[in-house]
Amino acid sequence: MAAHTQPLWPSRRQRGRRSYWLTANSEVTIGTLVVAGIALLAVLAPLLSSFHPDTIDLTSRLSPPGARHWAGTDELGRDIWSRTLFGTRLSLLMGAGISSIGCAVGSLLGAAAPVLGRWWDEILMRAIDVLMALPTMVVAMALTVALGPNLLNAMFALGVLSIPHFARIVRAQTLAVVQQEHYSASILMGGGKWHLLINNVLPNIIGSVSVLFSMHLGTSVLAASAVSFIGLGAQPPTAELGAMINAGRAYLLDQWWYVVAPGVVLTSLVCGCNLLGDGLREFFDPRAQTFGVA
Amino acid sequence: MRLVILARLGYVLAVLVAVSFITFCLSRMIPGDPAAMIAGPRATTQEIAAIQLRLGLNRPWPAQYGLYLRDLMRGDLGSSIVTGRPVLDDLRTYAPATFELMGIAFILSTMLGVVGGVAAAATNRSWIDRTIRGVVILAISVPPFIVGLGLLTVLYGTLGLLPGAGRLSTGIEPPPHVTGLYIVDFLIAGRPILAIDALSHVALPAITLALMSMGKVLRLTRAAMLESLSQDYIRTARALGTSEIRTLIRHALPNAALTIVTFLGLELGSLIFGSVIVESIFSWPGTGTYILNSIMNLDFPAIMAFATASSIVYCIVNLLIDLLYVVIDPRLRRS
Amino acid sequence: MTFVLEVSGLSVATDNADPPNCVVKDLDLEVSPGEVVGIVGESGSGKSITALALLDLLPRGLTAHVARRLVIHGIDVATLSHGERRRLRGAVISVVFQEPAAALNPVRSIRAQFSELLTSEFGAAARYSASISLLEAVGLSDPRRVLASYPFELSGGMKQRVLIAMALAKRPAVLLADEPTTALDVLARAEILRLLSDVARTRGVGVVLITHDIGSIRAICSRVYVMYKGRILEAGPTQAVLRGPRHPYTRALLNCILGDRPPKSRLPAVPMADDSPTDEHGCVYVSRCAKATRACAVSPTIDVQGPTGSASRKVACWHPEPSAVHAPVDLR
Repeated sequence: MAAHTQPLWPSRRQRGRRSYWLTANSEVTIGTLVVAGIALLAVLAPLLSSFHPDTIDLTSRLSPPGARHWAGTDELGRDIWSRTLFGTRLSLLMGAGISSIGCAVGSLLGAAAPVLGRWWDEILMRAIDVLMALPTMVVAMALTVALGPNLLNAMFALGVLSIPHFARIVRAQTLAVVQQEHYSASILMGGGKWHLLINNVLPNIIGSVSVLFSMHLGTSVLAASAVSFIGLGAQPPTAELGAMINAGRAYLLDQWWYVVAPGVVLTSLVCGCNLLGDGLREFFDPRAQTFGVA
Repeated sequence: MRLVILARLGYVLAVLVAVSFITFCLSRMIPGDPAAMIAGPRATTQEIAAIQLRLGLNRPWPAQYGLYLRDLMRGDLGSSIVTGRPVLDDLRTYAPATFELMGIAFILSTMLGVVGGVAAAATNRSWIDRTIRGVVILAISVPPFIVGLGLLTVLYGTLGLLPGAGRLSTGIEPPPHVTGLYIVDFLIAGRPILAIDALSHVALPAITLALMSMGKVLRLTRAAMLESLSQDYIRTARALGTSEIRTLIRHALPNAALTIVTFLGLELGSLIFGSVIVESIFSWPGTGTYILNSIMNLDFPAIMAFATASSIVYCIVNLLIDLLYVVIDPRLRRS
Repeated sequence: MTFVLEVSGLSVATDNADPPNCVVKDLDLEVSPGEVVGIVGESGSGKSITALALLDLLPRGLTAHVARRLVIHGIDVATLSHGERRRLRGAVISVVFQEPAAALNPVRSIRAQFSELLTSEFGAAARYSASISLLEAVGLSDPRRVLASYPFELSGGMKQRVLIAMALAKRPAVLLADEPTTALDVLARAEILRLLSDVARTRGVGVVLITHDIGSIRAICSRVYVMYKGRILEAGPTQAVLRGPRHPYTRALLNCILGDRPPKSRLPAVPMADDSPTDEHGCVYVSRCAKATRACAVSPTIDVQGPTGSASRKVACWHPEPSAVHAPVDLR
């Protein structure tokens, strides 16, 4: 190529595949670090806090952050830092629990339906349609109230209501697998439904199911804390991040520290989960064919 | 085409019936005896029995479901234990405030989300795109109640820029009732300055409510636009000399619009729940506040009625959007 | 003789690789008004990239360079900005692509898509009649129905005609046709080729037919360029090149037209295709050429024979076949 010619209409400067790769990778890296870090804090909670989260000490109520109480105390003198740590445990457990229920049951239903035949598939589709016609959080709220407002019921309600989301996507992917040749081959060789599910369908969808799970984590943690914020999840004296922020509302202007620790940790946790999920999605499926409903 | 619409309407009806069955089951899941609750703590056994008879609580459940459906069609959602009035009336009193809040939030999130998504897709992989995507991650990650409290503290508590509670400044009377939306009613009454006062009050709650929704809409718009821009007809448009902006807006966006509009319908559910959170933070006198109150007082009929009403509204809106498709997308008019 | 498209020294290279990979190198092309010129070559030879480069529609990562001239309808394109290049598209130089299936906006009627192209020239009333006459010119028998239709209601052949009509809407001087018939059935293929030939003849448009199908070239092109790995290896009047190919590659290509062989003869063997990046200096065909010698390590210059202008023959080979040795190729 002659060196003396100038490009006359240069193409838009390209970032190059390499740096795009890095972007996706850095999302995943940062997200994983954040989540892992917070999870570590939560696991080591008893070691990292010198106070029990429920210990009441009225003499030091509403004291600002200091050497003794790193994040200050609440209106009953309880140490906010330790409450935050133990609350993080709950948030992580709730988030994992909700996503697990939705993922496990939803994926099973979604994978089984096409395998079991047209009839079951139709039933599942109709059921998904009806469940997705409901406003998720509102019904979760009502269900939690009906079952009795506590953390376990909230987790159950939110988990059940996230089943259709997983079922629908996994079903679509299973349909793609069903049309592949190895599937027909297994049928011809006499494979029963169970065999088909485990040997043909499962290996092909396990990757995307994992990505779906990680994408959903952030939503679950957020939903759990929101439900506790409005008083339907964790009941006092349980230390939960959303509930703590709700309690700290009254003291917002003067005792600002009340909501800072739980707020920062909760935001970071959700942010980390979302970065992780988003990064994985960009990596595996950059044209976002699963951009349906998050 | 008429057959298609009829088929869709039939489907709408079927889903509504199924949804009503679910809400029926929910309303019967109330802990304790609903009749005793309605009768009150000092009622006699006869009074409770009488209420049970009236509500048909002794009959087999298919009959109960039938009664429930009949009441639903008459608009009877039960009565609140706290106020004693039919819940529908309570909701009607509080709904306009929530509609105003959700309306402004919806407009904000849709406009910013779509514009941002188109911009991000058009400048794909540039620093603009990556910045926008970073903003989106924040928008959908920060819990709405933290956003609300943050905005309240900073913009109201510290800076005093915008009001932090209520729909109107103290001393201002609400406008004569036409729609119940203060901004609209003030404009109708010819008092634009008061309309601005109402707007300033709805600003912070609406921004809080809109933020997470905007993030999701933006992310979806971006993905849908990227999908659209990779199609051959975009290459045709560019090859025949169409300007890039026109290609984006007149060719790519209409094809992405179907996906976007579907999602907007689904977001309604998040807005309804979000309004509960936001109204509590900003003391906004809407259905959200009413529901929180009901929760605190264990006013089960009110809570279940609210869930029922929301579900039906949500269902109808989304099914209407489905119907809208048949009108918008020429390809669907045939099947 | 004024050309409607004059390319001299066009190269397209990747931006980032070091050294840059030349996808098209030092390409020369001339098209006269009303002439149909063919570019033939196998997949990956750079034919489509050439078309995109002429339109300023290269994808990210590729940049075009012009060493000497690029003139379209008298306009020196080399000095123009991106925006000015865009305004030339459709109005001076236009294109039809290979796959008509998804090439029309699915949610807008054909009429609306025409309207958009004709807005700058016509008022609302005139647009409709202009669209009708364009559709008639491309051989559609019921233009009103087509205008009222949506793309999904039309067949592949009809869509390709519509696309050709849209390409001609702003009356360009040059029409590039990149594999326009590959996605169509045999009957539609013949019709579209005939249409392109008519367009050139009646409207004086210079048509460049890019294809891997020698039959199409034979049917409508008056001149042909043989392309391989981004270089033009041979060029000249169609009859002359097809009857007496002088470059070993052209010869090998023509040998692959099986219809011309006597029955039960052995199929010609062509050495395996080579995907490695081209060496800057040597002949590009050297790895597959049966006649390669040490001299071929230096890029052969274009050897121009015969009268200059459109009847000239060019061969880029150190060992071209002597003329008229090859058995006559059936040109029916």
